[in-house]
Amino acid sequence: MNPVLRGIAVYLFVYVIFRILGKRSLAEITTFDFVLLLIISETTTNALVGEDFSLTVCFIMVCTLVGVDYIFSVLKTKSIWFQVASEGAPLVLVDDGKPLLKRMQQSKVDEEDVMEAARLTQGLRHMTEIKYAVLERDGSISIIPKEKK
Amino acid sequence: MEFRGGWDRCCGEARSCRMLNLGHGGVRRLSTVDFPQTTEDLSLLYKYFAANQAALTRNMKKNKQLLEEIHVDLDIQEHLKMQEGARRFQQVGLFCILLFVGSAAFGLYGNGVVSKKHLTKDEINIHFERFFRFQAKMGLQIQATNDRDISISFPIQYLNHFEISSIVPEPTETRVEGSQVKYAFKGRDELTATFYLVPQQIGQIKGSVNVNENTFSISHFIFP
Repeated sequence: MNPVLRGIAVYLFVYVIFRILGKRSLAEITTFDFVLLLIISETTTNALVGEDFSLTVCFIMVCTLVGVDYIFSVLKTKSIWFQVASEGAPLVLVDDGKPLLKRMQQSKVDEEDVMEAARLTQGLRHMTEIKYAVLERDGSISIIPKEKK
Repeated sequence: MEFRGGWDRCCGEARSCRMLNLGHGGVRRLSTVDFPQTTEDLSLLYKYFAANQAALTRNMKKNKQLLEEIHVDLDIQEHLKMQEGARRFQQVGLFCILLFVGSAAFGLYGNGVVSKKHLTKDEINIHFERFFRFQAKMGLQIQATNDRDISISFPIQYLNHFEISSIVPEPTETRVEGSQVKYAFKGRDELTATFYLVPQQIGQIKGSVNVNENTFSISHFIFP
């Protein structure tokens, strides 16, 4: 199989898989997730180069992957639809101290995750101290605390 | 009590909200114009918001909407419809992953129950893979019983789609006759010859195997 087609196929497949897993898939990497990522990278390497270990194939693969990534980034800037479809959009999870459970459920985030982010980034103790909690596109949770009176 | 325009959020000055146990920020668009004063007003207000909430839920169900729309004081665009679309895509995607893994476990892509095929004729057995993968080594096993020499032949056109990795046991003689490649094995009680083939083409490959004048039609589908 042509190495360029192989590179594009692997790129798209990995892209779709991580989109299916959702935003939170890479935001919280445990030790096991890290090992899993190493295994995935090893497996995809075999599929990318096959038994051809030439320098040419290496160059073709690097250029293909970087090229596809560049095309994707251009498409994201040109089309809001493509940007949201490929990366998602921020989602408010807590509004004025009230957890929005349906949104949390959909995003596979629970109150513990929100409180963890609140403690780590803002030193907050209770949910009621949060003005807004937003699940960002990269899977992280940003916390906006209530203004102190 | 009449609810007029000028609706505002309940947060910040939501004494009535807390009194009604509606939850701070839980009810949208509480009137600050006609703020309830009496118990009767509060009761009316509670009924109004209960009906409003039920209508919102009904509307969400009607529009197949999973996420409630909220108005926040933040410069972000949530694209809720697309997020719901992404959610459906994830569900379908997860189902596809399960289907893919399940079919692979059963051998739709080789090395499994679905892919293994067995043909028998005159005490000759042939085992081969109906489905396999590009550039992966697969075995084509031929079992035959004959006191005399056993000859196995394949059309050259069929073998052109494969790289022959190895033949176990090695044939005593290999020759080309017309459009066939013939492999001869010494006769024994039971011969089990395995041809390890590596597909070099993607898609359907059709061919045949001749074992002592018995012809077997075989075909493989090779996945990329």
